Amino acid sequence: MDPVSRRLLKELNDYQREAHNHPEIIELTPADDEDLTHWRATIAGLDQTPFQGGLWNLDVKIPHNYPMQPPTVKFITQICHPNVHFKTGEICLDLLKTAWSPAWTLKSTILAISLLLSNPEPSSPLNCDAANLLRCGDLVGYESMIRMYTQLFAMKMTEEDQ
Amino acid sequence: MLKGFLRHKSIQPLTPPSPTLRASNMTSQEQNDWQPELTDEQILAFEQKIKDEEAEKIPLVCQKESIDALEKEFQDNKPFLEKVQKLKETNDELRKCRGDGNCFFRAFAFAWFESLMRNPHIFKAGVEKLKSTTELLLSGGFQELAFEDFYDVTLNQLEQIPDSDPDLLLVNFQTEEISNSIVMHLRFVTSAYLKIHSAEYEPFLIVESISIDQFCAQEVEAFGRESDHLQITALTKALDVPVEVLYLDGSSGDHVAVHEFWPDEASKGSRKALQLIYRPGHYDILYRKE
Repeated sequence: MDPVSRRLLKELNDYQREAHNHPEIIELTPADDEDLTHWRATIAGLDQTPFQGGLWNLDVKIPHNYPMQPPTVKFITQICHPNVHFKTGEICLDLLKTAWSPAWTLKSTILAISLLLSNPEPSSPLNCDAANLLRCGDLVGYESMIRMYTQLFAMKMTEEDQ
Repeated sequence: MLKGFLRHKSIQPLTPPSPTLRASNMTSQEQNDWQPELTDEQILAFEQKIKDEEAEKIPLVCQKESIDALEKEFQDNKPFLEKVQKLKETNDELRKCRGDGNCFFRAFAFAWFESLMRNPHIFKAGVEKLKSTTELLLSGGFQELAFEDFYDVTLNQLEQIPDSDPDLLLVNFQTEEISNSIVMHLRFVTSAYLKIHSAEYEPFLIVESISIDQFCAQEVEAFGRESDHLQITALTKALDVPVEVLYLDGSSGDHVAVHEFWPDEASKGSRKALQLIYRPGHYDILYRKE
């Protein structure tokens, strides 16, 4: 087995063993059994945040020289967040680019993205409208906009249930 | 203000319009202000391309060659040339490493392994030291999952040394998977050592105003990132391997400056240090005259 697959299998086992410790990650798994270099993840919005109740799917692509190079992660489910591109789902997070360290794993990467939701960095925005609300201190406006888009895009399952 | 904000690197279209096209209907002032803007991905891809091109040129670790190669390299550069000529009195060979940003770690690792091959009496201590690094990494906050593959490869290579020969060592160091795993393990060891001894080393980072954790992630653990004093100091202490770095630069005088890195002051001079030669931005292995 090549070293990247070996590493990824270890990560998968590790995640499955520890999954109960990370309720914010709903799913983290290879997209299909044949190809270990393409994973999908689902994260849940944390309680007490405007993202509460939302579920977002992420697409995770792993480069051939992982973990020397970071995985490419983007949102599949549309999300309104200062550091995520509203249309493409691209994420602006230094750890996915310049601050990547091979000491990270897919699990810790997804956890960092989950943490980014409630800790936006409005000074390096991919979504200027969301960032501008924060930059001018309109927290009420910001949170209600997030809540609206969370309901629109990330709570489809509950709508179907109803 | 707004203009500056909108010009932020992350919100640009994927393909910047070609400068010549844009320039044609701009005033000269606009032309001066206008800069093609790239996304982070494009910048990273571009850097990677440069590294890949560099990689095509030479193996990760080369065959030994005569120090005359340096003379040739600097034949038109008097300050460098004078130093090389002086250096020839004490050193006769060097071994080049690929300039991919990992050259310090790779040169160090190869020189260290080679010294253990030549000096069987220190081999056992070297293996023990390497084995002790798993403890160091765990106390440095590393997850076993993240380092065990690199560690296994490194230990396996080191343990092979008594039954191996210099040619096989070189072949293994030229094999990307093996060579890069060793580089990665030494990067983690360096990082763990710095984190554990952060009180001693954090003051050196004040100028750059980043924490030791940030420094370790961005400058030490990051594959392909170049190394400086702090990394060398930490690694020599963590593995108890003395190193001398001979700095070849354009300063006046015909002597290369020698920076010595001793794991502890007491052992200074009691054993032979590995020798690396540094030219601005790059490390290679240097050999003393026998």
